[in-house]
Order: sequence, then C-alpha cells, then structure tokens
Amino acid sequence: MSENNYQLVCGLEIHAELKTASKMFCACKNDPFNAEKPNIHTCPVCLGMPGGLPLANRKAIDWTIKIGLALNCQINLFSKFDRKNYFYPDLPKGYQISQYDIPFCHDGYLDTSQGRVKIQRIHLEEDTAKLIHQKDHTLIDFNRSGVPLVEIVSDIDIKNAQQAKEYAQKIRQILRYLDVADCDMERGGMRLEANISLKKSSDPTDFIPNYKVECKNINSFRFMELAINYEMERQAQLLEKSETPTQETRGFNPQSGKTFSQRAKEEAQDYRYFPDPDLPPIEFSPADIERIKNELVELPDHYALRLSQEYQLDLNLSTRLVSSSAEAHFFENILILAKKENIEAEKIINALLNKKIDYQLSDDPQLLIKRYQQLNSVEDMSLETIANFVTEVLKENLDAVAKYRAGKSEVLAFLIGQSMKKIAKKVDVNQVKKILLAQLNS
Amino acid sequence: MPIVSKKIVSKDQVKHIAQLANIPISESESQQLAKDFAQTLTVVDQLKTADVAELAGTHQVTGFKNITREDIVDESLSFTQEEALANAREQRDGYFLVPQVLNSEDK
Amino acid sequence: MTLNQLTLQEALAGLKAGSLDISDLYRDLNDAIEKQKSYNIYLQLNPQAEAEAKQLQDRQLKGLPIAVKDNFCSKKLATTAASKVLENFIPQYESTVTERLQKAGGVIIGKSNLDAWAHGSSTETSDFGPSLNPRNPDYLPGGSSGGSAAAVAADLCLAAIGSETAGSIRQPAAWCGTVGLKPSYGRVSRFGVVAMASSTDSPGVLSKTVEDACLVLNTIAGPDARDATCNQEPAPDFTKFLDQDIRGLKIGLIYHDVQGVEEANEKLAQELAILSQLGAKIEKAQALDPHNAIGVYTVVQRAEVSSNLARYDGIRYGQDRSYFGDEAKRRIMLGTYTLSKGYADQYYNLAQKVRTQYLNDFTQLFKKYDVLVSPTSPGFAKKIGASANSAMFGELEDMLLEASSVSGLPGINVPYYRDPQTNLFFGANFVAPMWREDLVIKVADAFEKNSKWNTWRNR
Repeated sequence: MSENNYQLVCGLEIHAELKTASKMFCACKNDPFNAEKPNIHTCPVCLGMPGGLPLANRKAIDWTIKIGLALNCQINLFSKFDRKNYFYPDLPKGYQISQYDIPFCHDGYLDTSQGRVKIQRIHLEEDTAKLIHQKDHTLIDFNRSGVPLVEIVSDIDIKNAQQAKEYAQKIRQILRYLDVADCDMERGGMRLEANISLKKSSDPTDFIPNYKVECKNINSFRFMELAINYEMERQAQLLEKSETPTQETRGFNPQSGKTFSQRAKEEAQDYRYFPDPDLPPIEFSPADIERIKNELVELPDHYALRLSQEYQLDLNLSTRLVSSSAEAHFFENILILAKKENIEAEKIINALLNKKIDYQLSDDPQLLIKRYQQLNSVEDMSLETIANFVTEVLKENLDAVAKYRAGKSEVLAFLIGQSMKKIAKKVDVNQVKKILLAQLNS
Repeated sequence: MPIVSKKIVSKDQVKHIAQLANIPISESESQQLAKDFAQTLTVVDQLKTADVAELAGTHQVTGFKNITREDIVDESLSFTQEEALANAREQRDGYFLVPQVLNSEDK
Repeated sequence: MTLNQLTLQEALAGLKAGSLDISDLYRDLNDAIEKQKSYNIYLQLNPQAEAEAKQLQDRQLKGLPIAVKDNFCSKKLATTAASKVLENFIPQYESTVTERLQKAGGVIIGKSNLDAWAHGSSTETSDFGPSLNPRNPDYLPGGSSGGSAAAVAADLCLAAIGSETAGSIRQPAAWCGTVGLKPSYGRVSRFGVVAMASSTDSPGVLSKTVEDACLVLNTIAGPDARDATCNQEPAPDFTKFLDQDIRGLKIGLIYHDVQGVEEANEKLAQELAILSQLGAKIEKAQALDPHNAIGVYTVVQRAEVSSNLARYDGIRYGQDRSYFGDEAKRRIMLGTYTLSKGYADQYYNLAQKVRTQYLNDFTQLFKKYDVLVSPTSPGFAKKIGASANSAMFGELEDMLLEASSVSGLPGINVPYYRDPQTNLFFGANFVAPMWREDLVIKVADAFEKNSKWNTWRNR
C-alpha cells in the first residue's frame, strides 16, 4: 500500500480548561457545564462591556507552571499576556487574552511507549463563549467566556495515530493527577487538534513537508486516531499522484469515519498580537518555581516504576495500577498492607484486577486484605467435622460409591467435588481426599 | 525636522485593512481613507529617524509586576441573566442571538 | 454674581457655615444650564440631581454638582462616549470614579460632551455635535474633555471629571481658561471608563481652581482592585500640597524653542517671573524634540484603539460597526495597519522604543529639575470647524503634551494669559515625575494665587 512509502509528520495542540473556582480574568464563577441557565456567570469583564478590565487569576498561573514542570518544561521567569486580535461572535472583546512570544512554559517533553514527544510550549489564555447552532441562527452563552484555558503544543514528533492517542491520553492523565483540570472531552473541557502531513520514508529526519492539514475540534481519542489514519491514507494517495495536499482545516465525521474540508487557508491569519496594556507582566523567582515544584504530586510514570521496583511487580502490571491518582493510592495502600501480611504482591493484585475480590476504591484496604486471606487460607476445621460431611456425601451418592468400589476410580474426583461443596468452606483438599479414601476403603 | 518622503497608501491596502479591522467602508470612503492614511503615516514616518536600535520598547509606564487576584468567586460585579441581556440586540431563551455562524475553533 | 459661579471650595464653606442653601445653588445652576443650551455642553442631564444633593449634605462634597465626561459608565444615565454606536446604552455597572465621587457626596449633574470615543482635541468629532467655547462661542473648547472644560468655564457645574490620553484634560482646560489636572497614569482607576488607549488613559479633574482640583481628586484617587494598572499605594491628601513654600524649587522651562509656539512661549516666560519672585529657580532646559512624540502617540494610541474598539460589534449592546464615525474608523484602521504583519516592527514596535527614549529623557531632566513647564497648547483655541481638514489635528494641537503623556507623568494646566480681544486663554502645563502630583500642585497653586489670570480668584 502506498502509505508504507510515507512517514507521518504530526504535532498535537491540546486545549484544556482549568478547574479554578473563578474565571481567568474576573471573579465570576468558573462552572460553565453545571450552570442552571445560560449567561448567569458574567460581568462587565467577561462580557466585554465598555470599561471592563482584566485581573489575572494567580492560581491559574501557578497551575500552568505546575503543568509545565510535570511535562519537563523550562519556565520563563519573565512572562506576560498578549492580545490576540480577531473577530468572532464568541469573542466578546474582539481579542482573546493569550500569550504570544513569551509563554509561561517551553521546551518540555513527554515519553510514550514509542518514544519521546517534545513539547514546544504551554501557554495560558481565556476560553471563548459557547455557540449553539440552530437552524437559521446561532445562540451565545457567555458562561464559558473567560474560563482559564491552557494550550499544550507538541513538536511534530508523533509517528503514528497510536502514538498520538497515547500522548493525548497521557496528557489528560497528568492533568488529572495534578488535579487542575477535569478534561471532560465530551463537553469540550479538553479539545484536540492534530496537524497532519506526510513525508517520504526516504526523506531526512529533519525534513518538514511544505503543507499542513489541521484537524480541529476532535472530541475523543478514538476519533483522533481514526482521523489521523484516514488523513494518512488520503494524503498518501494524493502524494502518489504527485499532488500536494491542500493546506486547510478539516473536520472529522464520526459517522463516515472520514475527514472533510472546512476552510482553505488562503493566507495565514493576522492576529496583530501585542502586549495587553491592562495586565502588568508576571515575574517569578527561581524560589517561586522551586516552591511549585515541591508541590508536585508523584506522576503516573514514576509511580508505576516505583511500585514495580518496591513490590517486584511487572512494569506492565504496575502501570495498570496508576491510571488515576485515586487508583494509584488505593493499590499502593493494598501493597503496603499485603507486604506486612506476607501476601505476594502479584497474587493479591491479580485477585483484585481479575475481580476475584470485588472492590471499590473507597473500600477499606484492611478489609480487602482480610477477604483475600479468607479466600486463600485453609479453614481451621476439625477432621471430625470434615469426616461427618464426607459421610453424608457418601450416603447421598450410593451409586457413585458402588461404582468406585467396582473399580471405577474416576468417580473419586466427583465425590471430592461434592464433599467440598458440602463443606462450603475453604479447606485443604488433600485432607478431604484422604478422609474420603479412608471411608471408601473401610 | 528631517524631511521624510511622502507616504503613499493604495486603495487595495485600505480595503484589506478594513477587512482585518471589521469596518465596513464604501468605495469613496476607501479613497478618502487612503489619503488620510498617507497624511498620518508621513508624520509617523518621522519616527524612523530616531536612534533607538539599542532600546527596548515600553509597553507600560508603571513598572508594576505580578498584579494578580486570588482565585475567589466574587459575584458583586456579576450580572443576572436579565442584566447581561439588558442591552442585547437580539435574544432568545436567555441566550444572545446572532445569524448562523461556524464554531470559531472550526474556522 | 450667581451661586453657580462659586468655586467648589467656596460652596463647601458656605454650606458648612449655613450661609448657603443647596436649593438656591441648584436654582441658579439650572437657570444657567437652560441659558447655555445652545453651547451643547451636556449630552444628558441628571433629572434627580437636586433631590440627590439634598440627601448628601453630610458627605464630603455635600451634594455639589459635578459634570462627568460621557465616557464614564454610570448606572443611572446613558453612557455614549459621544458615539452613535453607544447611543442609549445604559450600563448595568458603575465606573470606580463615579462610584467614589457619588459616595463622597458628589452629584453627577450631567454627562458632558466629548470627541466621539475621546478621539480628538476639539469635540467636533462628537456624533452629537461640537460644544462651543463659553469664553467665545466662535471657538472650539478643545477636547476630548471639551464638554467638561466648557461646563467649568461656563459655571454649569462646580467641577468636572475628565479623562486624558494625551492632552484631553489639559488642552481643553487651556482653551477654556480653567484648571485641568491629569494625575499620574495609574493614580485613578480606569475601571468603567470607555477605554481609548489603555496604556495612557488617565481619569482626572477639570476645575475652577487648583484647590478645587485637589478636593475632587481626593475623592476619586487611590487603589482599586478592579484595575491591575492602578497604584496599590494609598493616595495622599492632595490638599496638603496647597499654600506651600516653593523657595528653592527648580523649574525647567522646556519646548521654549519649538516652532509655532513663539507667542505662547514669550508670554509664559514673562509670567513665570511670578514664580521666581516666590523663590523658585527657573531655567531654560533642553528636552527631546517633541515632534517624534507625535508619532509615538499616534501609533501607540491607534494600535490600542483598534483593539479596544473591537468589542463594539452590536451583539451584546450598542449598534454594529457601521455606526462608527469617520475619525473612529480612521483610528481603528490605522491602528490595525500599524500592528499588522510586516508593519508592526516599522510602526508599533518602533514607536514603543521611541517611547523609551522619552522616558529616559524625562529621567535625566528630573535629575536636574523638580518640575518642568511649557505652554499647554501651541496657541489659542481654534475656530469652530478647524479640525475638519486634518487627520492629525489633535496630535498637532497636543504636541507639547504627548511626550509626558506617553510617559505617564502627572501634569496640570493653569491659565497664564487672556487675550483681551478674543477673551481666549493660554495655559501653562507643569509636569513632575511619576506619582509626584504634590510637586505640580504646589507650583500651580502658588502660580494661580499670585497671578491675575484665574477668573474665579480675580473676579
């Protein structure tokens, strides 16, 4: 197939809304998804009224730095907000307060199972209002206007759709670990955009194609994977015919599984960025950054590695334990207790993961340990009691007893099973067999 | 005052800028605006004679830094839905209403 | 003399002493407003003014009538910025200035006319027609706070609120023969003021005397958590800088050799002898040529305007963008141009560098001088209609103010000469370092009290 002659050149831009209590530049409530009515969390600032002035939310700034540190970024000790000027009904001021040439974070990376993806920059900006499209008109709800939004821009290091998905999922996982964003994809709390082009497999590694297709507004990881795969095929076919794919923005239709052209980019947008005169610049001391660094929680990759080393677990298995911060803590508590009780880590983890023991993250680990022990420990039952159960079983199964005595030793397994069932407790099966044989042969 | 050559601005340039600035202008306006622009830019071009290569730009004069707010909801400035919509050109069911548009993210 | 002709300080003293009745004052004031209707000074009057005043007798400003430029948002009255785009716009919120003014017992007597969006130095660009200069109605009052200056000059208020980006308080004060105090950028909150050029917009006061300016400034200045560029340090009591000894104060006379300012400079040099006699040292000083400041101001202001006026799309309030007048269109588009790809370095970024040059120049000058002085305007008020033929009318009229404005410095206009033929005034502009309103107040007060040019002190 023609795609095999080509190599994907792909970078992702990920937008995530921060879950601060108040909005980015005003004290309105940041709660667009749970608002009872449209346009109830607005003020002169986020509604773009005359004379409204922005004031930056310190927590959102600190969280952005936190995200940057979690993604191994450099932090700009001097930074500022800029105005990005363009017109749209969802943009009440006619400009978005964003960051242009000095983002808070730059030059980080995230490791995936298929290699490192470099992160170009992370900046902080404000979200726009929500548009609701109806038949002949559009409705606007400004509850979302001014919600803090981080944008994480990767380098074009992504080699295939699978890696794009893993990268994006890991970003979501980290944002949730940091407890700074809910990343609700369906409601638009996290939005993906993939820049996709292809180069020949024979091209040098630093070769950059002369066109770029932007797939915007993808609201699920799976759709992104499908969109990238579809684009690879579509672009490869064009390139095979010696055509250059059009530089454009495309959407993805989940029904057809295809991307579709939304708008050709005639010329690059002219956003006329300039420093926002309403917002004094932001400066950090190295000590500020150190303080934020110290507040960082243990992140999933590190967590998994540590659990695997401390408890001799396979890394693939320990990775399954840390998909969320709540799970990671839950399993670690189990492991700590298990160690004390001399329970083998892998066994109890498998018992939980395979649902041999039913559990919820809110369960008391101590109780779960006990349940595991009950399930696995031999019941302390007197031989006399066992013998009584066995006698009963033999009385109820005279046929089988006769067969056994006639030389059909294979019915023994059946009788053991019946005995175990009757006992209904975890007892040593060898013991049962011994008693059973004794009675049969007596 | 050093002499700086007279600036010429084309009508097409004016139309492009009008589009960027989202200002509807008529044909005759674009002609007049081209003339006004040229007049202003001729004065402004004087700046190019200043010896400032070594200087950084000044965007703010106060020297203030790190003026931020705590993450606290304060609804003393917030509008009710009625207040928010009080001056709207068109509204429906608590929303502002405009003719059909795309999502800006889709633009 | 009628009671509306009192200064703010005189009226306050009268009310305190019980020798003045607030209703009598409002009666005289309303009569005067009625008589001067053709001057087009107020865009809207407050019908509740007198009733409000009676409720405020125990407050600092005792219900006295203050004119407010119509680019300050106030809940009760429409705020139009003199533009059709905002015609009938009634904000659901109050600007910090009007909130504080009213809390202190000031009454908004009316919203005064201005150049639309405060773009201009004539009030001729107002979508609701120009105001006339009360000193001589054939002439312009200046602008953009032309309505506020005219209201003070015509005694249609006891003091007025204005805003200045580069000259918009001091230049109309000069043309109307009143005091105009532009505080340091950041001394007074911009919250609720229709933004023009955010990095230089400064609310301030137009008044009959320097003392009155201090009384009003005291009520509106100081920290505001709603404006990140507002100084968080408490403002001083500005009246304590009145009646001070100015012996030994060093005053640098700048722009004394600028072409086209000869007459104003000659008269200023003569009048400044008053300050020498009071013991100040006056010297000619060499400031950076103000011509480049025109370019700096023009570019920075239009760039910020193009962005600040982007919110007016007619969706949430007001009319759509086809309602902008010619001047606003010109400024928005020129600003768009100076920020656009390929031009930002030639214009916007270059202008901000030259701005630094002016800031540095002032830093050097203030090592030698406490206060700088020059004429406020190159000449007398211009005739009605004068602004129509120049896209750069305001910039040229404000040439002597732009350098200090883009540097954020405090300045004050005080009258220093009256032409007996036209009844028009020259005004002097005293400028001090950032946050040093005390110095300009000290000098301007001493000058005003020892010269013969203040109409109210010399009636």
